[in-house]
Amino acid sequence: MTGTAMTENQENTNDAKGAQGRLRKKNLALLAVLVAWAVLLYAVAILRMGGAS
Amino acid sequence: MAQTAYQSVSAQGDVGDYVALLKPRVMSLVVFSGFAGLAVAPGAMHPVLAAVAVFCIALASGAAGAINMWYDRDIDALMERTRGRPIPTGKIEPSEALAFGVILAAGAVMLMFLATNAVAATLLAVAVLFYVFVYTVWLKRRTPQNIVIGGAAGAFPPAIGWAAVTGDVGIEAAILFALIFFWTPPHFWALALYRSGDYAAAGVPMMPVVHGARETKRQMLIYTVLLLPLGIAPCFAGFASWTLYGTASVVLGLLFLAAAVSVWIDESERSAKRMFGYSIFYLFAMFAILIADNMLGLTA
Repeated sequence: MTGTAMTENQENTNDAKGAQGRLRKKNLALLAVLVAWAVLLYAVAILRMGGAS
Repeated sequence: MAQTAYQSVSAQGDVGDYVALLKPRVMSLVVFSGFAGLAVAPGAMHPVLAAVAVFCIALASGAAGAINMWYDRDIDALMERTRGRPIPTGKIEPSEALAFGVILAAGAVMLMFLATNAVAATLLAVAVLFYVFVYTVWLKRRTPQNIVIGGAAGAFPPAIGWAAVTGDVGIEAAILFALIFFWTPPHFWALALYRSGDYAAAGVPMMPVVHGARETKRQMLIYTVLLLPLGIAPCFAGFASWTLYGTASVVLGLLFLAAAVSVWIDESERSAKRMFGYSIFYLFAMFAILIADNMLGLTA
């Protein structure tokens, strides 16, 4: 009984760590996308203001 | 405790699942046809702005795919072909998928307007709205003509590419639109023929489910015959040569017709699978040759 409970606890901890890792990756990906988006808007705006079409 | 539970649910999907929401395989054909419209349009465009315009088409296509997956999550779970998608598998929450799609669509239209012009941005918005509201919400679950009318959404990209360069939609853009519009029924029904069990299980009234395989094959043949003259229409309209594009389109069109006839004759699923694969190759090849024709300056 105690052994089973310990295994379950360990699995829960591993699950939580895995979930946190995935969440961190997702947040970093979102950050990268937002930065890229800002750079893209900036570049397009500069080009258009420079008369490019 | 509640926070841990929330995290474990919302963090199940990874970046790859969000990419899957964008239907990357569908996107590739949409992007390529959009690029073709942009490449063959008369006039010059700054290469960075042209790349941004193609990127916007890709983004909007992916957004429409994500919103479609959000709306169709109930039937996706019932079909073998779609039950592995991120929402039915619980990797992404439906509300997340919807928000993801709406934000991407709005961003794509806004960026298209900033990078090109109002006509291209409006067409892009219309294409997304058409796919979501006309095809997904209205037609898909109501009529076997769902992909005929709804197919118009997938026909927009070359017209959008054309409009991005010219700021207008002329007869040339309309021809490219019609080419994809008439290509869609035989392409999609070829898939529906060997997936009809899936569609029946989900209650989607695809042509083979409602009218049977024979009627579907007959209509595929009709649309394929209609596609033949449309294939060579760019030569008559003067934006493709007979030498390269005209010859290739006749050959590719006749092979398409042969595939449709083979489906008509063959009772097994093999020919339908072959036709589905060939139809994808056909559209890629037609647009690739149109681009090559234009780049080589063969058009009179």
